[in-house]
Amino acid sequence: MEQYDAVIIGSGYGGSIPAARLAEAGMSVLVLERGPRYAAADFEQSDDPRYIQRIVDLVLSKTNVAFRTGKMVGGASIPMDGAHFRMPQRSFEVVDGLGRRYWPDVYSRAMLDPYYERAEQMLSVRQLGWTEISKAGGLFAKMLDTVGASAERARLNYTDCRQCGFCAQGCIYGKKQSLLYNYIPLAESHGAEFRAGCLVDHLEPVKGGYLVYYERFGVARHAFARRVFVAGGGIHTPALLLRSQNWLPALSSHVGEHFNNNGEHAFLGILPPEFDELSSYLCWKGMDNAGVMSFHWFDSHDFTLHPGGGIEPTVFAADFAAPDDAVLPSRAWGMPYKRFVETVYPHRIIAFSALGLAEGHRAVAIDAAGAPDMVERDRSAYDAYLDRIEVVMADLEAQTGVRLLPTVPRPLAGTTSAHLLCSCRMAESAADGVVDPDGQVFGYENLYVCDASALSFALGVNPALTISAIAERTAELAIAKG
Amino acid sequence: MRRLPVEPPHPNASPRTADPRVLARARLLARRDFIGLAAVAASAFVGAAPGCAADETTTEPPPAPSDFDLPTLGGAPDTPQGRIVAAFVDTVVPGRWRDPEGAPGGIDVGAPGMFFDPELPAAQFLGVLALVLDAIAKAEFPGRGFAALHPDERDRVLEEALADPTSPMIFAVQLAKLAAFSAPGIGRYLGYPGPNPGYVDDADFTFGVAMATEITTDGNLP
Ligand SMILES: Cc1cc2nc3c(=O)[nH]c(=O)nc-3n(C[C@H](O)[C@H](O)[C@H](O)COP(=O)(O)OP(=O)(O)OC[C@H]3O[C@@H](n4cnc5c(N)ncnc54)[C@H](O)[C@@H]3O)c2cc1C
Ligand code: SF4
Repeated sequence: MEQYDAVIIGSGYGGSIPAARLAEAGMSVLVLERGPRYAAADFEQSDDPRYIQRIVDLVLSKTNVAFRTGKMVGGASIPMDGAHFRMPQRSFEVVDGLGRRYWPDVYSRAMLDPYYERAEQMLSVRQLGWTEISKAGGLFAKMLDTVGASAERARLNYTDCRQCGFCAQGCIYGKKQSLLYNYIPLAESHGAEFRAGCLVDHLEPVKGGYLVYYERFGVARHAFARRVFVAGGGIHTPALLLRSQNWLPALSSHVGEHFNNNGEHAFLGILPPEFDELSSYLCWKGMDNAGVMSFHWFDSHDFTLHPGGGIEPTVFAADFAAPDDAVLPSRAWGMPYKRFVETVYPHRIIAFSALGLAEGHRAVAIDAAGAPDMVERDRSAYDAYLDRIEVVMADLEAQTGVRLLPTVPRPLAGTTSAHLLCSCRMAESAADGVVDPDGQVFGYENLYVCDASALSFALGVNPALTISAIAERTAELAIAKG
Repeated sequence: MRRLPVEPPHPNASPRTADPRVLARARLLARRDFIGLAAVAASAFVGAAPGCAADETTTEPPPAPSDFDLPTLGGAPDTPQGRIVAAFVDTVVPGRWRDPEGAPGGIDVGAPGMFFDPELPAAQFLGVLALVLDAIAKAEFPGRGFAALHPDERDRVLEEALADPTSPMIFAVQLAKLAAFSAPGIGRYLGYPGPNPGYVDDADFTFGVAMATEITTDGNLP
């Protein structure tokens, strides 16, 4: 029978970071990852959906939702776009309808700063220089500058990036400092075992610890550990806890609730011909992350903006059509659409997403077979947030002449995202959340959740660095507890 | 069904946990993980018609006069369903046969074939797609299926199918675009290079100067 000091489920930020720290502290650690293990040589510069589905897992639901999550050793650190920001203090202070902070009292930017620092060093996060920013990023910044809005150079974990534009495919050049290059080797150098191809079904508390039930190569297995870290990500972690409910009857009723996509809402900007620097610009030259972002509307409207590059805008976002419009095709398909793509797309498109302090409007559930599914919840607060963004975009459009269009019709906004947060949220008590401020599941000693699902609320910036900082802290507290 | 070999239960385990049926759930979960990127589009399609995916036999349209055969089916099988999907893709991203001066179209780069690729989830939804298009075609043009229509007539059918702006048919259209544009043929025509050594050494890849005012010292807001 396999026995460990710690079993960790999932090898993304929430799993690999505790694995490294616990192993460093001398504990025996087993990481169970459902996906395979790849190295840079296994990645491809390919947009073929057959390849992409090897790299990201798309969680589908009956409610027209498609969310992207990690599915290999390293989790979503492999396909992610590299943005690593600290959460602004203002985000920690957001309150609910009753005026209570979402985040536990102990949380603040100052409290997390040392953990941010540690994670940034490990992940080689740094701010880009303007010479590293592609024209897609430059044009986005210029668009904002024309209305007096600010834009920052982004903070990324890319080192000597080649600017080839295949970041979401896993970087064949090894320039993106995913977990494969830092925490995972650190954990392994201290004896942690990362076991790929292990799908965990459920866990059960037993005397002195937990049994983790999983399947590998079609064989049912289990491992025992004194402490267990669940880090399957914002959809799979609550699903796993829900599958374990028979054995964990004291779980908070908040498991799966408050699922939040970080207020992600994507737009496409069609630049007017007057942007004359365009002459040599191809919108897909450069990294997937366009290298800049803007906090300009954060204080006033709760959202930040993040442009991207690559071919994706061409594929996903070309759904705008309006008869008799000077810019848009009369139909989003057929000959008018093809002409539009031919003339506008190579040179005159920028794509960007808003992220912000939005309420969630879905919950994670499981179906009869135990697989994750999404359930709709009240979306009025989310819609009010989208309204605020769209008012700003209409104004920006009027002032800049850049045509700004949401990439999906409004009723479908929020149906796809890569930020999958808050579904086992951290709170002061089980009446409000699933894990305590130290990352421990209410009612279950030594059972931790420290991935994206444990965040208390949307961040307004990309989540990876905050997940990492909280994982560093949770690991530190678990080690101190012994 | 094959029974899984099961490890002997842990001495501390309650009798419930020894039940190998939990593994059946796990296997199902693993199967669902095969759902891939192309399903960004197809996912919504599933949602709209759960359980409606019909198989080839139920969607087989009756034989119809094929007035406007496509020059190629773009990798789709030469079956009634294959012809409908090829005609659909050609309607969304018209091929060179209709547009000799323009970029290649969906059928030129094999996009219809992607709908039939067993590795991709789109195959599950072909039945619904074919049913919807054929049903509208037959209502508008009695006695003729979608694949037999003139391109202008197909345009009318697709317009009808997309009349509701939240129709899941939007996602079928996106899937056709994804299949067409992710193929190097069209993307390259528009300047998209596919695999490349990177643009970092291109003199014109960056403006290289500050393009807007910055309000933070290091990219983080305090
Ligand atoms: C394409 C893309 C781009 C992104 N870009 C950015 C960005 O630029 N900046 C940013 O901050 N964030 C970005 N994100 C989001 C960020 O990557 C995620 O928020 C973060 O990786 C989540 O970390 P995690 O540890 O919670 O989960 P994950 O990284 O998803 O890791 C969870 C792991 O658990 C495994 N797992 C799940 N269930 C089980 C089970 N039952 N048994 C065993 N293993 C299991 C999964 O296979 C996975 O490997 C992006 C995400 C994607 C997909
Ligand atoms: S753009 Fe940079 S980080 Fe992205 S895949 Fe290319 S080399 Fe790697």
